[in-house]
Amino acid sequence: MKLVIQPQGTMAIYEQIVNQLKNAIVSGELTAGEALPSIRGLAGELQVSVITTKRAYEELEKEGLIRSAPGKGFYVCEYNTDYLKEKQLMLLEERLVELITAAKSAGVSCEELLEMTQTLYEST
Amino acid sequence: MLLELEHVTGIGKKKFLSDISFSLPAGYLMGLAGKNGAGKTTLLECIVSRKKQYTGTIRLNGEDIRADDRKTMQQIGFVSEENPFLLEYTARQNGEIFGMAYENWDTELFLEQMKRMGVAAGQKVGKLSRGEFIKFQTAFAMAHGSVLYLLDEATAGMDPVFRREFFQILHEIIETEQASVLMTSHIETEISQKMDYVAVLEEGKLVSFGETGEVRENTGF
Repeated sequence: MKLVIQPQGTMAIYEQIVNQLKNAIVSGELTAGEALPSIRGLAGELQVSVITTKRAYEELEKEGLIRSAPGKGFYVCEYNTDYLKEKQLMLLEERLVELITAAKSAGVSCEELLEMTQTLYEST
Repeated sequence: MLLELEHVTGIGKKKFLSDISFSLPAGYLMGLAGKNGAGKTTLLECIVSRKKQYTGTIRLNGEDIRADDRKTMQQIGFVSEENPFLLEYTARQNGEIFGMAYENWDTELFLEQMKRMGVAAGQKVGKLSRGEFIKFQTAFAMAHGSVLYLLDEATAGMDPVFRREFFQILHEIIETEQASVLMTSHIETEISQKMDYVAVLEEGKLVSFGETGEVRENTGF
């Protein structure tokens, strides 16, 4: 995968790296167990400082998305794909609750809501 | 710690520098920033010069560089447009001649690096472009086993493509974490994006030193 850095962007470079790698991991573009470039290799590729890539990897490691194998490098975490899916489902549930509350106050019945959902799901 | 400066204060001609202290670990790029006349080149010269031009201590891998001048010289590569290489001789010849001063001189490595960098070893040094001259000196420094690379305004005037290539080379140098590069630069983006550490000099004094991200936050640099 290709990381694109906007040096003059509003987000700090290490944050850009964190976000792009996070998205790649969540979307499955980077698969569980896959090896990431080394800190120094990535710094050289992106033409940024070693400390920047180090910081990005440390952050991802803290969030449990990648792990470091001493002497071997960084790998995408094994369990994370399920963990992230769970997290996504939780967020989805929260939004559904919001939606249902709004539907109820608008007098929309469960059936109507389900019908609406089906139509929109199929057309989006 | 690869390079340590403790209260380095210039004397005699170098008395302009005052109380410079910082530590640089091996495996990183460090930028030395500051206006013209702030003392950047003077500081580099203090580190390489064999004359006793300062009080305080400078250590390379824990050893005082004044304890064994010759040993220190072997490990420091100084890259500067002003270096008096022999302009009428080829790069290869300059390598042979000046390489003799170094115990660990490796001609093969020198030629290999020159090739990798795209600089013709058979070209007269006087005919090299500024950028090629810098690359040639970098190859030379690598070939005698430098662990500390001092670059004085090396990237000034490099076009983006050339600079990119040059930084690939620098990254290779620091990759094994045995060496570090200390380079002066005027280019703000270069310092803020590519340097791991930065020291800012102002009128001979060190006004800040640290990891680039932190220094930026503290000084609005």
